Amino acid sequence: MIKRFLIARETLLLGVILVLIALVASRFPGFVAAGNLVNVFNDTAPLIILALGQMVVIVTRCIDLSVAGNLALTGMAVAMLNSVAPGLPIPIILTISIVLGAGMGLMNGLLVWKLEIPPIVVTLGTMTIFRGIIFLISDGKWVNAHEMSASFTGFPRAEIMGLPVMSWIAIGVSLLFLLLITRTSLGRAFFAVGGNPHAAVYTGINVGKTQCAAFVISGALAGLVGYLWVARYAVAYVDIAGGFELEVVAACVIGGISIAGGLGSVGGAVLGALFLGVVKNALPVVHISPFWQLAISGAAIVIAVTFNARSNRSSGRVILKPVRPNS
Amino acid sequence: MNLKTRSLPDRLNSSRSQVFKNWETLLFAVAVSIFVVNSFASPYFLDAWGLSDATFNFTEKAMIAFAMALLIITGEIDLSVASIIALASTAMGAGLQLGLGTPELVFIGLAVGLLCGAFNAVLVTVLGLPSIVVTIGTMSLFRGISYIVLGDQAYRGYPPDFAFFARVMCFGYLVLNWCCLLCWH
Repeated sequence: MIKRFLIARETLLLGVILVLIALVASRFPGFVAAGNLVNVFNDTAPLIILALGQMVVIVTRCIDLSVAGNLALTGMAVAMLNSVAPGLPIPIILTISIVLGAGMGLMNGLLVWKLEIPPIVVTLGTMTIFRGIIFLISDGKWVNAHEMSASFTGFPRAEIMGLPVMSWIAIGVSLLFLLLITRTSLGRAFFAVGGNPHAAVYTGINVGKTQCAAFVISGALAGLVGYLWVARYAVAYVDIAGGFELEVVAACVIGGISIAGGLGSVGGAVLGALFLGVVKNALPVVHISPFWQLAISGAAIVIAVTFNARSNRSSGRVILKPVRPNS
Repeated sequence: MNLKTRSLPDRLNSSRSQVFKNWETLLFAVAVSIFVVNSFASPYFLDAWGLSDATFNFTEKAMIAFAMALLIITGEIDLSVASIIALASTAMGAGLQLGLGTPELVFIGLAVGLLCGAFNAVLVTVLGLPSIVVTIGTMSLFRGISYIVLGDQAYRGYPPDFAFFARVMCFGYLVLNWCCLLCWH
C-alpha cells in the first residue's frame, strides 16, 4: 500500500516533467530533439548523483550541507594533482577523488556519530572549512584548462553509445542505489533509522553508525562529482558549485523525500533532480530570463513540500500517532 | 513528606565552576584573546576608528542574530533572512524609482520584511511544514523575486536622510549600533 502510494507520487512528478517538456516542445520543437535531451540529461547528471547521496542522508534524519564544499575541494585537489602529474591515469584520479570525498564525509559522519552534534551545524561548519581549505591549497588561484591534461578533461565528455560518460555514471549510480536501497540490509537500516530511531535501536541497528555510513556515501559521491565537474567545465577555483548544496536538497524535497526522515525513493531523487534540470534548461529556450530560475525553483520547493506534507497526512504511514503536547 | 525541600529552587545552581564552564564565558574569553592577539598583530587595531569600524561591521548580523536566537530556541530555523534583506532592499529601491520619500521607503522595507516573515510563519505553523525546507525554498523564492525585478541592474541615488540610520554618528557611535544595543535590552 505504501509502495503503491510512493509509485503514484513519482508517476505524478514524471507526469509534470513530461507536460513541461511537451509545453516547451509545442512552441520550440528543437527542445525534444534527441541531441538536446541528451544535453539536458548530461547537464543534470551531477545533480542526480548528489541528490542520490543526499537522499540517504536525509532519510536517516540528517542533512548534508557540505556536499558543494566537498565537491569543490576534491575538484581542486585532483585538478592541482593533474597539473603537477599529467600522466596519472584516470582510474587512479577517480579513486583518489572518491576516497577524498568519502574521507570528508567520514569527518561529518564521525562528528554526528561520536560527538552527537546536530548534522545541520556540523555540515554548515565543514561547508565553510572545505571552502577555506581550497583557498589555502590554491592561494585563491584558478586551475585553467591549459593546465589540465587532455585525458583528464576528456573522460566525462567521451561518448559511449551516443551518451557522455558523465550521463552513464549518473545512470550507474542510480542503479547501484536501487540495489542498495532495496536489496541490502544497510539500505533497510537507513529507513529504519529515519522512520523510528528508537525502534531501530531495539532491532540491533546502531543509529549513529548508520548515519555515519550515509554521510560517507554522500561524501564519496560528492568527491566523484568533484572530479567530473572540474573536468567537464575544465576549470577549478574556490567558488565552483557555490550554493549547489541547496539545489541538491531542493531536488530531494521535490522528489518527495521527507525531511523528517524515513521516507523517500531512488526514483524520487532522480526525478526531483530531472525536474530542476529541465526547468533550468527550458527557461532560456522559451526566452524567459534566467533571472526567473531562482524564483521558480524556490516556488517549486515550497509547493512540493506543501504537497508532500498534505499527502503524507492521509497516507496512514504513521502507525503510532505522534503525541501532541496540547491535546 | 518533606515537600518544602522538594520545591523548585528560586534560581538555578550557578557555582563558580559552572560559570567557567559556561558557553558565554568561553565565548567571552575567546573574544578577549582575539582582541589581545589582534592588538599585538596590528598597530591600527586598537584605535577608535578601527574599533568603531569593527563594531559597525557586525551590527546587522547581531540584530538578525537576536531574532534568530528566539527562533532556534523554539526549535525552528530561518535560512531566508539574507534573501529577505535582498527583497526588502529591492522593494525600497523600486519605491525610490517611484519618487517616494524616506518615511515611505522605511515603511516599504519593514512591510516587505514583515510579509516575508509572515509567509514563512504561515507555512511553518499553520500548514505544519518543517521550517528548514520552507526557508530553503523561500530563500530562493525571495531572492529570485528580486532577481526578476532587478535582473543585473542596481538601484542607486538614495536621498541623504535615508542613510541616517546607517551613517550618522550619535555620541560617537553609529545610530545603527545604538539600535542593536536597544534590541539587546
